[in-house]
Amino acid sequence: MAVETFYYDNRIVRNFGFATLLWGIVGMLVGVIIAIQLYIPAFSFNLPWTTFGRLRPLHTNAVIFAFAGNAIFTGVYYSLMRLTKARMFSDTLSKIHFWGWQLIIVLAALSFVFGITTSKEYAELEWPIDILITLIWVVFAINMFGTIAKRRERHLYVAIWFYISTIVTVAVLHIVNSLEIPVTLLKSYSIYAGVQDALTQWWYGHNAVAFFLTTPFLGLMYYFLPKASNRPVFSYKLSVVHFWSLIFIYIWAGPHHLIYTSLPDWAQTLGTVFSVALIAPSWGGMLNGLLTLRGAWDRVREDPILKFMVVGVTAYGMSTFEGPMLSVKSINALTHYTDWTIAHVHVGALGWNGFITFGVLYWLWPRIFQTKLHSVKQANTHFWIGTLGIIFYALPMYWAGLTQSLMWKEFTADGFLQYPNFLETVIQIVPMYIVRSIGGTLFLVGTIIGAWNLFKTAKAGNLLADEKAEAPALEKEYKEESGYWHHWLEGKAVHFTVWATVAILIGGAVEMIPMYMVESNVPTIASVKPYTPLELEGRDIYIREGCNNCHSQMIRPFRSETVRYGEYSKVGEFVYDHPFLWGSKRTGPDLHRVGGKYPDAWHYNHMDDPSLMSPGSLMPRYPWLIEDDLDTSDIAAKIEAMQTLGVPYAEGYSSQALNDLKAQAEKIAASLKTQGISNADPNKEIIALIAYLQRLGTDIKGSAVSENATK
Amino acid sequence: MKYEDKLLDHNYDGIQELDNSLPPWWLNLFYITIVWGVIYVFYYHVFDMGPLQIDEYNIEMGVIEESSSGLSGYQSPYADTGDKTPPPPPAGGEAATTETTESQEPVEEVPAINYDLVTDAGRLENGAKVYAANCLACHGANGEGGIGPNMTDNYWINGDGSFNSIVKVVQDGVPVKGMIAWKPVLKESDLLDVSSHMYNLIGTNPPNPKEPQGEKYGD
Repeated sequence: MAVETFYYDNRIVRNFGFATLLWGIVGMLVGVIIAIQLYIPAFSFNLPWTTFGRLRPLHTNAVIFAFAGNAIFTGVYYSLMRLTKARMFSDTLSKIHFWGWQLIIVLAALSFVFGITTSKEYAELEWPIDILITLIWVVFAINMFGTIAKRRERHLYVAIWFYISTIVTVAVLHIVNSLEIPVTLLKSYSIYAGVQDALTQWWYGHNAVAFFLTTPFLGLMYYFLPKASNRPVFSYKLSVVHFWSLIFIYIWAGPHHLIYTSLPDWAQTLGTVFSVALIAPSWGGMLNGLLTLRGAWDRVREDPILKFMVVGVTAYGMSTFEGPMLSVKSINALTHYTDWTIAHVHVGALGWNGFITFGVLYWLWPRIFQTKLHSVKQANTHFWIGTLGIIFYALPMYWAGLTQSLMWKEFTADGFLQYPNFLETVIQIVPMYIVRSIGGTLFLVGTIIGAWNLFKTAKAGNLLADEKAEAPALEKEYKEESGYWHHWLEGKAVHFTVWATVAILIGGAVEMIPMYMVESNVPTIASVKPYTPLELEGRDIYIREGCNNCHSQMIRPFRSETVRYGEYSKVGEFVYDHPFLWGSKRTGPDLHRVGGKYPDAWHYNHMDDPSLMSPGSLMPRYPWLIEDDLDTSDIAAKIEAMQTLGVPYAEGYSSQALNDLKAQAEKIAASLKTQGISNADPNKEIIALIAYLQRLGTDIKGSAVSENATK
Repeated sequence: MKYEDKLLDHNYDGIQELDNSLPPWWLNLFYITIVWGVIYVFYYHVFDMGPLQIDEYNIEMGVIEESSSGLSGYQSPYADTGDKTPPPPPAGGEAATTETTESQEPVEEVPAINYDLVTDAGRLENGAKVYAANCLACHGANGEGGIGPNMTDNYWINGDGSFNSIVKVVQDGVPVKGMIAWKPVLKESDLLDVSSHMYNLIGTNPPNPKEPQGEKYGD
């Protein structure tokens, strides 16, 4: 066959690489800010745009989709071209992908700051941006499969298997979990309610970890680790077994985020057993990485790139051992809702995603700029500061999580809670929050050093925008000399993609379809009624302010929970919750039974300044809720959207909703006046929020208690 | 163990692969987790040997006997040997019955409580501490009232001017008014200390008093 000459596109790699560094710094900086807010509430500046509830989704999305996302594209574009011996399918699509993704990031940052959110973790973006993400992802997919189609290398290397599974699964996850009914241009309601929404969300949320933060990075590891160490991959067999078992089993593990909740036991069990079965498939990746380095360990001592990769792969091994452990019921009973989870994800994010990313960037930067790395010494400094940062982040969070959980669960000899005031358990771990913010700052400093080092490298060199390469074209008629299966799967990208898709669809289907279809999974409760219009508006304020980032609405069936909060949460109580708001972390107490617990005026004062009602509280102030008028212009559309989703408001109720809303607001304002809030104004947002909070969890309480929530 | 390190004949952009066999300990780990998963599913959902979460809760609350869970000697790791709080309403998808909540009508059969005012200085100091931690937010730093009524005047909404009527309100709360029932939260001595502290606030005339509410007792 004739040898063909072609050119690799390094410009797109450089662009994604710079975007990675920029968004990495932004995302980590926001992380440091919210870490400080957890012990200095005034650091939210009493402004709506800078409270923890709005910045926390900004931080998670910036780090996952902007930092890790751009890092994935950097490494995938670089390695895919070289593994397929082809330039990307279309330079235009590469550009659209790059600029489209950056546009999404900017829109996401703006919408979070302005409180435009769906509340579903890592899927907080509203429906127009969801559609944009889908389009850009399809562009990426066409570009990638187009490149694979015109490849000059018959077999697909293991890295490409991981890239393909990433593309397919992320698309499926994003579309299914983002199904929502638009109310206005910037507001929608999830089509799922309550437990179905929770299950769908965590099928998505867990598999975002699997297919956005694991499989693409394993693909990067399989390309860049052998390249950087100049060693052959340890075991082809292991990569086959661990790839297929990983993608098949991972999909099932989502319910481990919902252990000891209202999710039916059978689904929790599936989450537990598949999470435990994930240890070996995950560790297969770690082993293949670390054992590839056999005979190169002396170089690890000198080469900062290998150091980053070794610590990254080790952090991956730690996270993937810990995940299954946290999925076991008795351990999860302790760790759920605590900072242990925060420690766990940061070992993964900082150690695995962060360090693999830096290793990749340090390796390819001098190659595309045709020069040496500006400073190996600085890269080593970055490595050590980053490693210290991870340690100073994770250890105090483990400590804090365990301490707080044990305090929540401790009873005195007389059968009382030892710490009935939730705030005591928070004050106890504030020193850990302080240390954590130092750890995060160290990691950020390391990232800035790394960015500077790479910037100087780029300045010193010249971008080799089009790198010349040669390879023979593929023969049309091809005789396979080794095994049939190997050829059948890895020689044919379409076969491979179809089977990978089948593998990732099974687990989700088995768990989710019964949850949607089988009614016995959600026993109905006659006394549970839809929210009133004012409560619905209040709920949307709750969502807008991101209250669910610190407050759960899911009381677990433990004595320590029911004594503290009240009757444990029943699955039938959430049937009208589009979206569900169970939360996943308790920085403040659970709110599912807060309805009727305090007088209206308590909430009024508490939202204005939490420390008035709870001296020492870490909650930010929300003075604008008292100043801003409630926007009721969409209430009819909201009621109609809910009716479309099956919430049983009476026929034509939307035309009457506004009157009902005003009447209820007047009642609450009147009750506030009797409780000493002389200037209570029924038109303000705070009134709607109070209505919602006073409704929470009261549908199955005795009538006496719910009287208190002014209906 | 020793690996053969046989190189495969492929070369991807300079990367080669060895064809080593799967590490045996790794493979065994994988098999063990799968077998464990199968056993787990059968144990809980096929043979019904282990308690599901609501049974586990009811065991913890002492509502059902452990033996009925099919697991003799099983005790939840979080079970406590202290006094048991009253049993919860029936589990499952049923709404809680109203039997467990106070009815709104004044009920006559409630046994009268009879406690003595605490006078010990140390205990009164503790009462002031408990007040500051739990009551101050609604009743004001000095009992002058705010969200809740003024505790220093002679006007009573839910009592008759006696020490025991304070204890009763602190214990049982006034749910319709948003007064919390503290009995499940505060141990008895703390409850009496704080009630005594409040009883002593009557007649202290703090600044910014809330207007009188309720009926007048005494002078």
